[in-house]
Amino acid sequence: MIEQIVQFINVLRAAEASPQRVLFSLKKFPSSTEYILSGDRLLYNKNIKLFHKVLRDLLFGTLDVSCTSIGHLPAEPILFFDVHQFVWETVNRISDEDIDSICKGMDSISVSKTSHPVKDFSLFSRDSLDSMVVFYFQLLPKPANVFLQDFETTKRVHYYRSVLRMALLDYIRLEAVASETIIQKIEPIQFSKPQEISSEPPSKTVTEDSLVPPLKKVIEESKVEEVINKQIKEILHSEPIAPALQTPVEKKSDGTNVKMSKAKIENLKKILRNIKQL
Amino acid sequence: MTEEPKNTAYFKLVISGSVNSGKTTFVRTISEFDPITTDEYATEADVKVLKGQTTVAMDYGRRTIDEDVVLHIYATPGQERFNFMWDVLVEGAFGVIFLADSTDLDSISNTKKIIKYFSEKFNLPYLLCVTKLDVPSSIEYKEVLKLIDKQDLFAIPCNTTQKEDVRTALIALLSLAIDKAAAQT
Repeated sequence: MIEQIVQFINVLRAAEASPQRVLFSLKKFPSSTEYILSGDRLLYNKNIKLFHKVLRDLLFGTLDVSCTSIGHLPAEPILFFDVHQFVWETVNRISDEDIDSICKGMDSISVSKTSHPVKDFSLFSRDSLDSMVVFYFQLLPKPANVFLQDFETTKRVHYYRSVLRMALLDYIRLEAVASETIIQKIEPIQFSKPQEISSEPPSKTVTEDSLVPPLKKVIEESKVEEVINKQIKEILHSEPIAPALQTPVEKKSDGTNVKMSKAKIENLKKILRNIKQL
Repeated sequence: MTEEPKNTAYFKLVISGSVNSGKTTFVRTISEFDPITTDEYATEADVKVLKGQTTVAMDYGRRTIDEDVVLHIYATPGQERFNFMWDVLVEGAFGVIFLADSTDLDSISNTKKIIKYFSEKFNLPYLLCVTKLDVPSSIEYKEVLKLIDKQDLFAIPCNTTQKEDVRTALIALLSLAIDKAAAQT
């Protein structure tokens, strides 16, 4: 599912650079549905009614999506749709049961911000849960299910529907992870004009993936050891709890804040746990 | 009030927003005691229309997390002429929650000014809570966000009389504060 989302985002990004012929192709049969996408404009054609279906099938993994640049539009389109709105509505139309099966195993997926700034999108036209999902993952990447632990009353299916919407619209980025180490990372697909497409910088793990398995294992183990050593160091060197009347965030004269100590962050986490029981 | 032990870590949360946006109610909902208020009879004509009494210095509430961690909650006065109190109250805070009253366009406009004031002066985690959405005269949540027009501000709908909503707001702000601090270390 992540692979399909990445494919779709790459198509959206490519269309920002130049008009694209977008093909949703069946994996097993030589059959495809074609659209023209230019920027955020999805041009009207006879397949437009099928857009909801093909996008849903893409999420189920029965279709692949690809695109080729057509240089410029044959003529100024008379009728077009906002592709972002179309995608948003498509995900809303998917039944709860289907959302459940599409998002199976998504709990451990890492969610983080994308390279696109939030302000580039009209987030306010989305619903409040979408806004929460986007901002929750803006500062640090976290496993998807952490949101549900923090906001316990949010319905799982509503949350994952929102995650899907926001991932497809490129507000958030999904990555498959195991424990603390990224084992798989989907890289953007290549286009005919790769220089026009903004792609993520290659991750550190890409080079590690190319290593032979035993060596890779040693690296993984040393990483775990490194994390443990770091944690021990932090505990040994952590500051004592702030004395009375000392406030946790001190301001510099320029208005920026002094870094919070580990002990203070731990205390904030303590407050968070307490508030959850409110 | 019980006496606080020595070596207690003090954490300060500030609630701000225009007059009558629900700040005192917000503090009341999470405080372990009825908030200490500094209400006086309103003297300004426009404030009198909204409420008879209004906060002039601050509201104060508290929540003891455990024996060595205490959360102090301060609500600022809503009128702009008391803005000297905003600087005083925000000193050392770990975050600020802004409230915008969805039933009053002037109030939304004032809250927008307050958000601008804080975000230009202090680098803190901020959260916007849109209040009174259950009142028939309210405008839509999305409309309030459009009026506030600050795309990078984390916003949620919030009924300040409901513990669940206030809890959600606090969790959102605390998550932001923890992530921000962790990202800086």
